[in-house]
Amino acid sequence: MAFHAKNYPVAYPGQLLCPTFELGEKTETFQEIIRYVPGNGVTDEEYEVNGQKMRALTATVLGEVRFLEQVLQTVPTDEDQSKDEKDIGASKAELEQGKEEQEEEDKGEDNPEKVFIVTVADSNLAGKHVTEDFANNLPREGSIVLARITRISSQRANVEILALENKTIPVDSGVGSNGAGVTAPGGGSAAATLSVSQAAADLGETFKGIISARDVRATDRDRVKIMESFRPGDIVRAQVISLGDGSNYHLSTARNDLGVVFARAFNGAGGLMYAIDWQTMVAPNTGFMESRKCAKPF
Amino acid sequence: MLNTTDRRRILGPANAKPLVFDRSSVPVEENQESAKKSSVSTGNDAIYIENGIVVNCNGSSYLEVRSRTNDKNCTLLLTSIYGPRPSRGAFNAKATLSVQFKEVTLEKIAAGQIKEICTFLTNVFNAVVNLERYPKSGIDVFLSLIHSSSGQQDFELESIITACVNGITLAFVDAGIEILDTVSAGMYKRNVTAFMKNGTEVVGFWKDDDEQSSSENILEIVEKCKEHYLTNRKTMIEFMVRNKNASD
Amino acid sequence: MSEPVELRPVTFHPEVLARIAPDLYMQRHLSLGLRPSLRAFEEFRNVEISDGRLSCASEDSINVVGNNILGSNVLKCGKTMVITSITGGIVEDVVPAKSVDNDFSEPSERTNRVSQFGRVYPVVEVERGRVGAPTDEEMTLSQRLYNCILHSGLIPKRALDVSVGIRSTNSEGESSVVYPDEEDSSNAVDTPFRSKRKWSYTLYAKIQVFSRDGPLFELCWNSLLYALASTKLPRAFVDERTTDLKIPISMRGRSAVIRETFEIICDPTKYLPLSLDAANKAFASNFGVLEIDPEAQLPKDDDDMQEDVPGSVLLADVQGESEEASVSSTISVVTNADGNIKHFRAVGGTSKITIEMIQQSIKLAKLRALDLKAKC
Repeated sequence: MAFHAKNYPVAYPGQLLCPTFELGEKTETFQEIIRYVPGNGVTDEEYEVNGQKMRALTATVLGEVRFLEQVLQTVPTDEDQSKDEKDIGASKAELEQGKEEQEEEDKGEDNPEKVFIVTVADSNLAGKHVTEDFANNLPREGSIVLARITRISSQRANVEILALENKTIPVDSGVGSNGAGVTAPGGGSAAATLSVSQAAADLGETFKGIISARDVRATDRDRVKIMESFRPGDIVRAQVISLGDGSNYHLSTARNDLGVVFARAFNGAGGLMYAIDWQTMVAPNTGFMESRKCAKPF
Repeated sequence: MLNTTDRRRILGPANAKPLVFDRSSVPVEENQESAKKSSVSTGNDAIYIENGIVVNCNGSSYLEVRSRTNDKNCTLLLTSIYGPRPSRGAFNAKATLSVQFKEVTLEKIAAGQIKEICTFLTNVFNAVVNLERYPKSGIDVFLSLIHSSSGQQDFELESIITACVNGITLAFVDAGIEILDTVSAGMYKRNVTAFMKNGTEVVGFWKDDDEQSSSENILEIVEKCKEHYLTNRKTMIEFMVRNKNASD
Repeated sequence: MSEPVELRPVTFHPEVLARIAPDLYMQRHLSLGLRPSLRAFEEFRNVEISDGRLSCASEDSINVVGNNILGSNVLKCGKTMVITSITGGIVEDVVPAKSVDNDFSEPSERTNRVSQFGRVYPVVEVERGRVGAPTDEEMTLSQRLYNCILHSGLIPKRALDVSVGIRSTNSEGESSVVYPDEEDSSNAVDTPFRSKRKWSYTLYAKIQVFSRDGPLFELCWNSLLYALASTKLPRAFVDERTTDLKIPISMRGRSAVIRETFEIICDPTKYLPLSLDAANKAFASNFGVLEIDPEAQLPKDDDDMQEDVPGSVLLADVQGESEEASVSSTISVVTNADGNIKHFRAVGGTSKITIEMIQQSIKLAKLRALDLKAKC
């Protein structure tokens, strides 16, 4: 029986799931090959079985095992890329994969091949609209994030990333409990300025990002004025365009559905405002209008 | 703590002397004797596990290791994991791991030894956590020793380290951070060995100088540790699976 | 304008909204008559306490050797856990030579009131995944606890006096300890040493907080109080042979500094409970005041009764990130069930605290003190 058809109990870290590939149905003309690729919560490790070294997929988190069949692309490089997006970390596995692929091409092209991406995830979280599993969903290229504007200048807006789209940030980087809220006086600040030389003290609270003036909107980029697009305190929906440098992600709002989603009038002193077009927001109670780069409501 | 100048904490009068207990009296010694006997036997302990009790961190575990023979001989350890949190400074494709250890009630372990423990644990878990998955971030492990058993010394470093390894693994599982295996440690006399992959690979070995096992072959010691490791690992996996099924 | 402007609201999942706009999240809950923790406005969290069997004086202490903890408490309130351990030290009091005999003369002036009370030196540590120097919050908490304990008069100074016994060894090598308050008045040993010197215990409290999710002063205070109530002070004695040994350690001219070689030793088997002033035993409760923002209310159905929404509400036992982030007016009351208020603090933030709210908060704090006292 093929591994992907088996019924798995709850997987725990270190549990062996399946080999990296196995032989499937065999007829006179061809031999089916089933290949397993590690996804989230799975890694491939070298194991020694009966004195023989082999690679096998093992779970790395507690949860249910899932096999996702991937439609095979004709051009192998494409496939590699799509996998790359799925799992940046498993570059080693990718190499391994590449090698095998070459070997296989030598054998002959008629052999059909099935590829399964194996993932382990907590089913309780997977069923929810909002997964709190931020730990395994760090912002990466292409992710949509919700961020708060912390500082603006004429060239860029600095933001802190609060949540991935429909995913919350981990509990330990919040406002009150660990951060610097009004009534949590300087929980973070004193510790941040008076740190000892330990690795942990070099860590900030939230992931930071930058939106450059040229990434605010797609058209008329040269005439963007940050002041007319964002204000400190606004919540912005943005896309990660690169992991950036050590401290900042680079974000962009140059799309219709990206931009300010949540803002208060008068730099936070007034009431909530709603977007009436892509560059104006209005406070319904007072009727005041302010200019923003708004996101099309989704 | 009594006589250092520290303007951030309220330290009390400078001329205060710590309490000195007369350890020569009889009943205490009896207790010591019984503790001595039970602490030698390893592997004969009951483990109580609870996780997720610290809510302002990403994952946590609480471990109570209690000797079956002597109820007073126990180690209480709370582990909490913060992160992945953003790191400052240069771009780092991998996560940075740090381990901090603190005694919550009594302070008996010397600062140097605490540092050694932290370094040992950091080394073990650097090999275990799938750090490549978490670029630009740091993962911080905080160990709070609420209580340690009274063994032949005032504290028993070996049982503390064993509890630390097991506690950190459980906390990582609770946090959902990817680890390559359910790593656990086993203790034999004054040696601790941390294993992975069902005991085929050693990820950490701690040996304290002691007369009891100095004559023994190191491989034999590792084998003995492995027995303890296997029971520990079994307990942990049983807990995780049972806990998971209960929450479904 | 001929064409009405259409406003299309943006929707977020509750968890995300709590993160990006905690104040709005809070207001939406309030308009449903609930708090984010699903408690009612004036409902407190339950408190569980135990002594954690940490103290070396307790019967079944889990740590006998090398333990110098005199009292302990583990307090759980919701998810928050506070572990308090009391340790001690001995300090020699400076007694003016003349006033040896009448040192219990009542200090009548009011300014001297504080000098009759014992102190506790607390250090609060809040675990929040950081290392390094104490945070502002920890320093403020420690100082506040110190001040409140001192001024509440919870510990009479007399309770900390050490009545030093003397260990004498007879010719057969057996030693026995005689304490001044235990011996019969008939065969009172005349020890010149006793009347001249005076020692007292100092108490240190180490308060460790795990999983902080709200203001901590009240939890720390209650935990410290329980820990002090369980504190037992060891009996202390000096060895007879060393009592009259004196060594001059520095000589200048005709004045010499004399140091005694003896050391005060504590008896690990005999303990006396720390006697607290029961009338001054008070428990802490906190409250927050929040103004209801009419703009942030959920739209009501038309057939709903148009109730008058109060301008602001009193919330008991502030908890959670969204509450903490949006509540800036707080009231903190330390009182016992009879209304003997030991500490009262009101911080006026963005919301106005009315007289009625202060009255109501004191009333609730008294009820809660009654409940907490029962757990002692």
